[in-house]
Amino acid sequence: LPTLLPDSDSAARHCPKKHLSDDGQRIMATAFHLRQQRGEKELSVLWVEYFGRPTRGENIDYLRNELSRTLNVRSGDLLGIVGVEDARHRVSSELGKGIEFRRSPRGSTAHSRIVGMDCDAQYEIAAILAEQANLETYPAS
Amino acid sequence: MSICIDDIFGTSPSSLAGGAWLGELRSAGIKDRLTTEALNLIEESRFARNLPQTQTGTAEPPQYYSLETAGVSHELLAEIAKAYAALCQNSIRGAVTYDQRQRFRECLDAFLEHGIPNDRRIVSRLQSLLEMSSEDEPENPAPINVDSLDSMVEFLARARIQRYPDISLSPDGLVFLEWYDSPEQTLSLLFLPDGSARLLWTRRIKEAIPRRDRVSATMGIAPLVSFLKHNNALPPGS
Repeated sequence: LPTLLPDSDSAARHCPKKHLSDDGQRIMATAFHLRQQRGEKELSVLWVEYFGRPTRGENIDYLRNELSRTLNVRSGDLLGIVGVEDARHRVSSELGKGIEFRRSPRGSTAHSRIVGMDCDAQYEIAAILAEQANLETYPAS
Repeated sequence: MSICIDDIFGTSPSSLAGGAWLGELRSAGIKDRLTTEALNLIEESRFARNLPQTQTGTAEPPQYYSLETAGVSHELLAEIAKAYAALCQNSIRGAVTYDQRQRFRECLDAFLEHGIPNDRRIVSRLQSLLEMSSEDEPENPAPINVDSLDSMVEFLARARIQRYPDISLSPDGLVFLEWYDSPEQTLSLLFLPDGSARLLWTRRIKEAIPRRDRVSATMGIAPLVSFLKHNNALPPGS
Protein backbone atom coordinates (compact mmCIF):
# COMPACT_ATOMS: atom_id res chain seq x y z
CA LEU A 1 0.00 0.00 0.00
CA PRO A 2 1.28 3.48 -0.81
CA THR A 3 2.28 6.02 1.82
CA LEU A 4 0.60 8.81 -0.11
CA LEU A 5 -2.90 8.53 -1.50
CA PRO A 6 -2.76 8.32 -5.30
CA ASP A 7 -3.75 11.47 -7.18
CA SER A 8 -6.57 9.57 -8.83
CA ASP A 9 -8.16 8.75 -5.45
CA SER A 10 -10.25 10.66 -2.94
CA ALA A 11 -10.46 11.35 0.78
CA ALA A 12 -13.62 11.61 2.90
CA ARG A 13 -13.91 14.08 5.75
CA HIS A 14 -16.51 13.56 8.47
CA CYS A 15 -18.33 16.88 8.84
CA PRO A 16 -20.49 17.12 11.98
CA LYS A 17 -23.73 19.06 11.77
CA LYS A 18 -22.24 22.02 13.63
CA HIS A 19 -19.95 22.60 10.64
CA LEU A 20 -22.80 22.67 8.13
CA SER A 21 -24.87 25.60 6.93
CA ASP A 22 -28.16 26.19 8.77
CA ASP A 23 -30.07 24.08 6.24
CA GLY A 24 -27.63 21.21 6.81
CA GLN A 25 -26.80 20.97 3.11
CA ARG A 26 -23.47 22.77 2.73
CA ILE A 27 -20.15 22.04 4.39
CA MET A 28 -18.57 25.18 5.84
CA ALA A 29 -14.85 25.84 5.99
CA THR A 30 -14.74 25.27 9.76
CA ALA A 31 -15.05 21.54 9.03
CA PHE A 32 -11.49 21.80 7.73
CA HIS A 33 -10.03 24.06 10.44
CA LEU A 34 -7.25 22.76 12.65
CA ARG A 35 -7.66 22.57 16.42
CA GLN A 36 -4.92 25.05 17.13
CA GLN A 37 -5.50 25.04 20.87
CA ARG A 38 -4.49 21.38 20.87
CA GLY A 39 -1.57 21.94 18.53
CA GLU A 40 -3.21 19.99 15.72
CA LYS A 41 -1.19 20.20 12.52
CA GLU A 42 -2.95 17.69 10.27
CA LEU A 43 -6.55 16.79 9.45
CA SER A 44 -8.02 13.32 9.68
CA VAL A 45 -9.71 11.85 6.61
CA LEU A 46 -10.55 8.38 5.32
CA TRP A 47 -9.20 7.00 2.07
CA VAL A 48 -12.30 6.39 -0.04
CA GLU A 49 -10.86 3.74 -2.36
CA TYR A 50 -9.09 1.81 0.41
CA PHE A 51 -11.68 -0.97 0.54
CA GLY A 52 -11.46 -1.51 -3.21
CA ARG A 53 -15.19 -1.98 -3.78
CA PRO A 54 -16.38 -1.74 -7.39
CA THR A 55 -18.70 1.23 -6.92
CA ARG A 56 -18.52 4.56 -5.10
CA GLY A 57 -21.67 3.71 -3.18
CA GLU A 58 -20.19 0.50 -1.80
CA ASN A 59 -16.97 2.24 -0.80
CA ILE A 60 -19.01 4.90 0.99
CA ASP A 61 -20.98 2.19 2.83
CA TYR A 62 -17.71 0.68 4.07
CA LEU A 63 -16.50 4.12 5.17
CA ARG A 64 -19.73 4.69 7.10
CA ASN A 65 -19.13 1.45 8.96
CA GLU A 66 -15.58 2.50 9.75
CA LEU A 67 -16.74 5.90 10.96
CA SER A 68 -19.44 4.50 13.21
CA ARG A 69 -16.82 2.24 14.84
CA THR A 70 -14.41 5.06 15.59
CA LEU A 71 -16.38 8.32 15.87
CA ASN A 72 -19.58 9.68 17.33
CA VAL A 73 -21.56 10.05 14.09
CA ARG A 74 -24.93 11.77 14.38
CA SER A 75 -27.91 11.99 12.14
CA GLY A 76 -27.46 14.97 9.81
CA ASP A 77 -23.65 14.76 9.68
CA LEU A 78 -22.16 14.69 6.20
CA LEU A 79 -19.21 13.05 4.50
CA GLY A 80 -17.43 15.47 2.18
CA ILE A 81 -15.36 13.89 -0.58
CA VAL A 82 -12.18 15.64 -1.70
CA GLY A 83 -10.33 14.52 -4.82
CA VAL A 84 -6.61 14.31 -4.05
CA GLU A 85 -5.38 15.70 -7.34
CA ASP A 86 -7.93 18.52 -7.55
CA ALA A 87 -7.29 19.65 -3.99
CA ARG A 88 -3.52 19.55 -4.31
CA HIS A 89 -3.63 21.36 -7.64
CA ARG A 90 -5.92 24.14 -6.40
CA VAL A 91 -3.99 24.72 -3.18
CA SER A 92 -0.74 24.84 -5.13
CA SER A 93 -1.93 27.03 -8.02
CA GLU A 94 -4.12 29.45 -6.00
CA LEU A 95 -2.14 29.72 -2.78
CA GLY A 96 1.35 28.52 -3.66
CA LYS A 97 1.20 25.95 -0.86
CA GLY A 98 1.71 22.21 -0.87
CA ILE A 99 -0.53 19.67 0.85
CA GLU A 100 -0.31 15.90 0.86
CA PHE A 101 -2.77 13.12 1.62
CA ARG A 102 -0.81 10.62 3.68
CA ARG A 103 -1.91 7.21 4.92
CA SER A 104 -1.91 6.98 8.67
CA PRO A 105 -3.77 3.89 9.91
CA ARG A 106 -5.15 4.67 13.35
CA GLY A 107 -8.37 3.15 14.59
CA SER A 108 -9.39 2.59 11.01
CA THR A 109 -7.00 1.12 8.45
CA ALA A 110 -8.39 3.63 5.93
CA HIS A 111 -7.42 6.54 8.17
CA SER A 112 -5.24 9.15 6.48
CA ARG A 113 -4.15 12.72 7.11
CA ILE A 114 -4.01 15.92 5.15
CA VAL A 115 -0.49 17.20 5.78
CA GLY A 116 0.82 20.72 5.15
CA MET A 117 -2.12 22.71 6.47
CA ASP A 118 -0.27 24.17 9.40
CA CYS A 119 0.83 27.36 7.66
CA ASP A 120 -0.16 31.00 7.28
CA ALA A 121 -2.72 30.05 4.62
CA GLN A 122 -4.56 27.43 6.66
CA TYR A 123 -7.92 29.24 6.52
CA GLU A 124 -7.64 29.68 2.79
CA ILE A 125 -6.72 26.01 2.38
CA ALA A 126 -9.72 25.07 4.54
CA ALA A 127 -11.98 27.16 2.30
CA ILE A 128 -10.70 25.41 -0.83
CA LEU A 129 -11.10 21.96 0.73
CA ALA A 130 -14.66 22.79 1.84
CA GLU A 131 -15.46 24.06 -1.64
CA GLN A 132 -14.15 20.83 -3.16
CA ALA A 133 -15.96 18.71 -0.57
CA ASN A 134 -19.29 20.35 -1.40
CA LEU A 135 -19.06 18.94 -4.92
CA GLU A 136 -19.70 15.43 -3.56
CA THR A 137 -21.37 14.82 -0.23
CA TYR A 138 -23.10 11.87 1.40
CA PRO A 139 -24.95 11.37 4.66
CA ALA A 140 -22.41 10.17 7.22
CA SER A 141 -24.79 7.60 8.67
CA MET B 1 -36.00 38.54 31.66
CA SER B 2 -37.65 35.15 31.76
CA ILE B 3 -35.38 32.25 32.63
CA CYS B 4 -36.58 29.03 31.05
CA ILE B 5 -35.70 25.47 31.78
CA ASP B 6 -33.79 25.39 28.56
CA ASP B 7 -31.52 28.17 29.79
CA ILE B 8 -30.51 25.91 32.61
CA PHE B 9 -30.23 22.63 30.73
CA GLY B 10 -29.69 23.87 27.22
CA THR B 11 -25.93 24.13 27.21
CA SER B 12 -25.02 21.03 29.15
CA PRO B 13 -24.58 17.43 28.12
CA SER B 14 -27.83 15.54 28.48
CA SER B 15 -26.42 12.35 29.90
CA LEU B 16 -26.90 13.00 33.60
CA ALA B 17 -29.14 10.64 35.51
CA GLY B 18 -32.29 12.25 36.86
CA GLY B 19 -31.65 10.74 40.30
CA ALA B 20 -28.28 12.46 40.59
CA TRP B 21 -29.85 15.76 39.64
CA LEU B 22 -32.60 15.55 42.21
CA GLY B 23 -30.00 14.48 44.78
CA GLU B 24 -27.98 17.59 43.98
CA LEU B 25 -31.06 19.77 44.40
CA ARG B 26 -31.70 18.12 47.75
CA SER B 27 -28.15 18.50 49.03
CA ALA B 28 -28.04 22.13 47.90
CA GLY B 29 -31.16 22.77 49.99
CA ILE B 30 -33.19 23.66 46.93
CA LYS B 31 -35.55 20.74 46.50
CA ASP B 32 -37.63 21.52 49.58
CA ARG B 33 -38.18 25.06 48.37
CA LEU B 34 -39.65 23.99 45.02
CA THR B 35 -43.31 23.48 44.41
CA THR B 36 -44.50 20.11 43.13
CA GLU B 37 -45.29 21.78 39.83
CA ALA B 38 -41.75 23.14 39.47
CA LEU B 39 -40.22 19.77 40.36
CA ASN B 40 -42.44 18.06 37.79
CA LEU B 41 -41.34 20.54 35.12
CA ILE B 42 -37.69 19.86 35.89
CA GLU B 43 -38.22 16.10 35.79
CA GLU B 44 -40.18 16.26 32.54
CA SER B 45 -37.47 18.39 30.98
CA ARG B 46 -34.73 15.94 31.90
CA PHE B 47 -36.79 13.10 30.53
CA ALA B 48 -37.51 14.91 27.29
CA ARG B 49 -33.89 15.87 26.74
CA ASN B 50 -32.80 12.26 27.06
CA LEU B 51 -35.11 11.18 24.25
CA PRO B 52 -33.79 10.98 20.69
CA GLN B 53 -34.92 13.95 18.64
CA THR B 54 -37.17 11.77 16.52
CA GLN B 55 -39.20 10.91 19.60
CA THR B 56 -39.65 14.50 20.62
CA GLY B 57 -40.73 15.16 17.04
CA THR B 58 -38.65 18.29 16.58
CA ALA B 59 -35.07 19.45 16.18
CA GLU B 60 -35.80 22.36 18.50
CA PRO B 61 -35.05 22.14 22.21
CA PRO B 62 -38.00 20.11 23.41
CA GLN B 63 -38.97 22.09 26.50
CA TYR B 64 -39.48 25.81 26.98
CA TYR B 65 -41.55 25.80 30.14
CA SER B 66 -40.94 28.85 32.25
CA LEU B 67 -40.21 27.98 35.83
CA GLU B 68 -41.36 31.46 36.77
CA THR B 69 -44.93 30.46 36.04
CA ALA B 70 -44.47 27.62 38.50
CA GLY B 71 -43.68 30.14 41.22
CA VAL B 72 -39.88 29.93 41.23
CA SER B 73 -38.10 33.19 42.07
CA HIS B 74 -35.16 34.58 40.11
CA GLU B 75 -32.88 33.97 43.06
CA LEU B 76 -33.92 30.34 43.26
CA LEU B 77 -33.55 29.94 39.49
CA ALA B 78 -29.96 31.16 39.76
CA GLU B 79 -29.35 28.63 42.54
CA ILE B 80 -30.82 25.86 40.38
CA ALA B 81 -28.60 26.84 37.48
CA LYS B 82 -25.51 26.89 39.71
CA ALA B 83 -26.39 23.51 41.22
CA TYR B 84 -26.84 22.02 37.78
CA ALA B 85 -23.54 23.43 36.56
CA ALA B 86 -21.83 22.07 39.68
CA LEU B 87 -23.29 18.65 39.05
CA CYS B 88 -22.07 18.74 35.44
CA GLN B 89 -18.63 19.75 36.64
CA ASN B 90 -18.49 16.82 39.01
CA SER B 91 -19.96 14.30 36.60
CA ILE B 92 -18.54 15.29 33.24
CA ARG B 93 -14.92 16.22 32.87
CA GLY B 94 -14.52 19.75 31.55
CA ALA B 95 -18.24 20.56 31.39
CA VAL B 96 -19.12 24.21 30.85
CA THR B 97 -18.94 26.09 34.13
CA TYR B 98 -21.66 28.30 35.49
CA ASP B 99 -19.45 31.37 35.04
CA GLN B 100 -18.67 30.52 31.43
CA ARG B 101 -22.34 30.03 30.69
CA GLN B 102 -23.21 33.28 32.48
CA ARG B 103 -20.68 35.18 30.38
CA PHE B 104 -22.12 33.63 27.25
CA ARG B 105 -25.63 34.66 28.34
CA GLU B 106 -24.50 38.19 29.17
CA CYS B 107 -22.84 38.51 25.79
CA LEU B 108 -26.02 37.36 24.04
CA ASP B 109 -28.17 39.67 26.17
CA ALA B 110 -25.90 42.59 25.20
CA PHE B 111 -26.13 41.51 21.58
CA LEU B 112 -29.93 41.74 21.68
CA GLU B 113 -29.73 45.35 22.86
CA HIS B 114 -28.23 46.53 19.56
CA GLY B 115 -31.32 45.85 17.45
CA ILE B 116 -29.19 44.02 14.90
CA PRO B 117 -31.09 42.48 11.98
CA ASN B 118 -31.89 38.80 12.56
CA ASP B 119 -30.59 39.05 16.13
CA ARG B 120 -32.95 36.49 17.66
CA ARG B 121 -32.32 34.02 14.85
CA ILE B 122 -28.57 34.45 15.31
CA VAL B 123 -28.85 33.90 19.07
CA SER B 124 -30.97 30.80 18.50
CA ARG B 125 -28.37 29.42 16.08
CA LEU B 126 -25.51 30.14 18.51
CA GLN B 127 -27.37 28.40 21.32
CA SER B 128 -27.97 25.36 19.17
CA LEU B 129 -24.29 25.33 18.11
CA LEU B 130 -23.26 25.51 21.76
CA GLU B 131 -25.52 22.61 22.55
CA MET B 132 -24.22 20.55 19.62
CA SER B 133 -20.62 21.26 20.62
CA SER B 134 -21.23 20.40 24.25
CA GLU B 135 -22.79 17.08 23.30
CA ASP B 136 -20.19 16.23 20.64
CA GLU B 137 -17.28 17.10 22.87
CA PRO B 138 -18.29 17.09 26.52
CA GLU B 139 -14.61 17.39 27.44
CA ASN B 140 -14.34 20.78 25.71
CA PRO B 141 -14.64 23.40 28.47
CA ALA B 142 -15.39 26.35 26.17
CA PRO B 143 -17.27 25.37 23.00
CA ILE B 144 -17.74 29.07 22.14
CA ASN B 145 -14.97 31.58 22.67
CA VAL B 146 -16.71 34.56 24.25
CA ASP B 147 -14.04 37.03 23.09
CA SER B 148 -14.71 35.87 19.53
CA LEU B 149 -18.42 36.30 20.18
CA ASP B 150 -17.78 39.87 21.36
CA SER B 151 -15.97 40.60 18.10
CA MET B 152 -18.89 39.21 16.11
CA VAL B 153 -21.30 41.43 18.03
CA GLU B 154 -19.17 44.50 17.35
CA PHE B 155 -18.97 43.64 13.66
CA LEU B 156 -22.71 43.09 13.22
CA ALA B 157 -23.54 46.21 15.21
CA ARG B 158 -21.32 48.31 12.94
CA ALA B 159 -22.13 46.65 9.61
CA ARG B 160 -25.94 46.35 10.06
CA ILE B 161 -26.19 43.55 7.51
CA GLN B 162 -29.79 42.72 6.66
CA ARG B 163 -29.13 39.29 5.25
CA TYR B 164 -28.87 36.38 7.66
CA PRO B 165 -25.50 34.57 7.47
CA ASP B 166 -24.67 30.91 7.82
CA ILE B 167 -23.02 30.46 11.21
CA SER B 168 -20.68 27.80 12.50
CA LEU B 169 -17.92 27.39 15.07
CA SER B 170 -14.30 26.53 14.49
CA PRO B 171 -12.91 23.58 16.48
CA ASP B 172 -11.38 26.20 18.81
CA GLY B 173 -14.80 27.76 19.43
CA LEU B 174 -14.32 30.81 17.21
CA VAL B 175 -17.44 32.21 15.56
CA PHE B 176 -17.54 31.90 11.77
CA LEU B 177 -20.04 33.82 9.63
CA GLU B 178 -20.53 33.30 5.93
CA TRP B 179 -22.69 34.98 3.31
CA TYR B 180 -22.65 32.50 0.47
CA ASP B 181 -24.00 32.97 -3.03
CA SER B 182 -21.73 30.63 -4.95
CA PRO B 183 -18.10 29.51 -4.71
CA GLU B 184 -17.26 32.67 -6.69
CA GLN B 185 -19.30 35.01 -4.49
CA THR B 186 -18.67 34.40 -0.82
CA LEU B 187 -17.89 36.57 2.18
CA SER B 188 -16.49 34.65 5.16
CA LEU B 189 -15.37 36.01 8.52
CA LEU B 190 -13.68 34.18 11.38
CA PHE B 191 -13.73 36.24 14.59
CA LEU B 192 -10.49 35.96 16.52
CA PRO B 193 -10.18 36.32 20.30
CA ASP B 194 -7.89 39.37 20.03
CA GLY B 195 -10.65 41.58 18.63
CA SER B 196 -9.77 41.14 14.98
CA ALA B 197 -11.30 39.03 12.24
CA ARG B 198 -9.97 36.90 9.45
CA LEU B 199 -11.60 37.91 6.17
CA LEU B 200 -11.95 35.67 3.15
CA TRP B 201 -13.80 37.26 0.26
CA THR B 202 -14.18 35.85 -3.21
CA ARG B 203 -15.91 37.58 -6.07
CA ARG B 204 -16.48 36.93 -9.73
CA ILE B 205 -15.08 39.57 -12.05
CA LYS B 206 -16.95 39.86 -15.32
CA GLU B 207 -14.39 41.06 -17.80
CA ALA B 208 -13.37 39.89 -21.25
CA ILE B 209 -11.71 36.98 -19.54
CA PRO B 210 -13.83 36.27 -16.44
CA ARG B 211 -11.83 35.60 -13.32
CA ARG B 212 -12.31 35.07 -9.64
CA ASP B 213 -10.63 37.39 -7.18
CA ARG B 214 -9.83 36.20 -3.70
CA VAL B 215 -9.07 38.61 -0.87
CA SER B 216 -7.87 37.43 2.51
CA ALA B 217 -6.72 39.55 5.41
CA THR B 218 -6.76 39.86 9.17
CA MET B 219 -7.84 43.22 10.58
CA GLY B 220 -9.62 44.96 13.42
CA ILE B 221 -13.39 45.20 13.31
CA ALA B 222 -13.70 48.94 12.53
CA PRO B 223 -11.22 48.89 9.60
CA LEU B 224 -12.80 45.66 8.39
CA VAL B 225 -16.24 47.24 8.14
CA SER B 226 -14.75 50.29 6.39
CA PHE B 227 -12.92 48.05 3.96
CA LEU B 228 -16.02 46.02 3.15
CA LYS B 229 -18.15 49.14 2.65
CA HIS B 230 -15.52 50.82 0.52
CA ASN B 231 -15.30 47.77 -1.74
CA ASN B 232 -19.03 47.06 -1.90
CA ALA B 233 -18.35 43.70 -0.32
CA LEU B 234 -21.18 43.74 2.22
CA PRO B 235 -24.17 41.61 1.25
CA PRO B 236 -27.01 43.52 -0.48
CA GLY B 237 -29.30 45.58 1.74
CA SER B 238 -26.60 46.46 4.27
